[in-house]
Amino acid sequence: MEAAAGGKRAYSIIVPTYNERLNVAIIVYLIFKHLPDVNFEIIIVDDGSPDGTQDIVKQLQQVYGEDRILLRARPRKLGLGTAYLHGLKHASGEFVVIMDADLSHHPKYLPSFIRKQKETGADVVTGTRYVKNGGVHGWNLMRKLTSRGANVLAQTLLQPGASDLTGSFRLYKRDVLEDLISSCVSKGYVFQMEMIVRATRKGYHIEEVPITFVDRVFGISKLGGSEIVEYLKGLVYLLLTT
Amino acid sequence: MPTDHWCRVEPGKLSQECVSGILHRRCFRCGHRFLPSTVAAAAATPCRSGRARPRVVIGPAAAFLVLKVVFPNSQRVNQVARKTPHYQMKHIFKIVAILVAISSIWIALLETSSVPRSYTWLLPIYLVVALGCYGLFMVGFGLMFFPTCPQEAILLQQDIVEAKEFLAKKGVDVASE
Repeated sequence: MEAAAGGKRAYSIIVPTYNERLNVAIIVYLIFKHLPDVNFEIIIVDDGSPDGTQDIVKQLQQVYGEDRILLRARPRKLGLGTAYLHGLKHASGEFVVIMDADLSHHPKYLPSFIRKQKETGADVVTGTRYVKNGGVHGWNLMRKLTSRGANVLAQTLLQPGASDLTGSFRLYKRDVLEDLISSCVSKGYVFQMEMIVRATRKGYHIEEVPITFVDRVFGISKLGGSEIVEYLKGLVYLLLTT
Repeated sequence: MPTDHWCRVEPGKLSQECVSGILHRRCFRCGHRFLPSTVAAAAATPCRSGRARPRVVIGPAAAFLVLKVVFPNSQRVNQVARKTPHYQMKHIFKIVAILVAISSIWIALLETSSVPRSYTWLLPIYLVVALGCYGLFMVGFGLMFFPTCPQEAILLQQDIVEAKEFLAKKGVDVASE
C-alpha cells in the first residue's frame, strides 16, 4: 500500500559510497530484484570517488530511472554521519534504510526489515549478525574473538537494546534518524554504536532482524591496535555521556 | 536542661538509655553529637550491651531504596513512546548507584562482624573475580557458537554473476577494476 503521492516515497535507501565502482551497480540490481513491489528510492552519497563510481551511477539512472536512483555527490571524503545527513536532506521516504555499498550487506534482507517494522511498529530495526539465523563469513579466529569480547564488554557496561552494536544495516523512521544524528558526535563505527545506544536511552522501540555478513575485504587487517583503542575510548565516552 | 541529647531512634529516651555500644561523642544508634559537657560522662560510661547497631539495617535498606529508585518496574509502553518527557538518568549513574549499594552492603557486613572479618575484607575481590569469570565464559561460549554462513559467500558470487549479466545487457559498464 505504498502509493506514490506525487513523488513521495515510502522507503529511502541511503548508500554512502567511496570507490565502489563495481559494487554499486550490483547493489542497485539486487535491491531492485528483492523489492519488486515496494515504493522506494535509492540515494547514493558518493564522496568524490576517483575510480568513476559516479559515472556508473549515471548509467544506472538510465536503466532504472532518475526518480528511483538519486545521486547526491560530495566533493571529498567527509565522514559517515554527514553522509547520512546529506542523504536525509534529499530523502522523501517515510522510512530510511542505511546500508554499506561493499556487498557485505545483502539487499535480500530488506523485505525482512520492512516486514519486521510493519509487524511491530518499531522506530528502529537493526540487523544483527550475532544471532542464530544471522552469521558472518570471512572472519578468522582473531577477528571473531575481538568482536565477541567487544560485544560482551559493551553489553555489560552499556546495556544497549541490541545485540549487534557496530552493525550499519538499519532501518529508521525518518524523524527518529534526524533526531539521533543530531545528537551523535562520534566518528566511524563508534558512531553506529552511539546511534543505537542513544536510541535505547531515548526510549525508542528497537527491533532486530538476523542478517548475514560476508566480509569480502580479505587479507586487509581492519582491526589493529589503534582500532581497539578507539573502540575503548568510544565505549568510555558512551558510558559517561549516555 | 538535659545534658544529653535525645535519641532519634527511640524518641523520648535519652541517649544514655539507648541500648547500644559505648557512648562516644556520637551515639552509635542515632548519630547525634553530644554536647561537649557530656563527653567525659559519656566516655566514662561502659558499654551496656553488644546489640547490633542499626547502621547494619540502614546500609542494606539504603541500597534497596536506591535500587528501587534507579530501576523502577517500567513497562514497555505499546504506544509509540518517543522521547522520554522527563529527564533521562544517565547510565553511568545507574552503575554508580549499584556500586554504592554493593559497598554499603559490604560495609554493613564489616560492621556486624557476624561473618569473620577476613572473609568480608576479601569479598570485593571475590566479586571482581566472579565478574571476570562470567565475562570470560560469555566470550568463550559466544566464540564456540559464533554463527557463520559459508554458504552465503557462494550465493553472493552467484548473485554477482547474475547482476553482471543483466547489467552488461543494459549497457552498464561492469568490468572489474
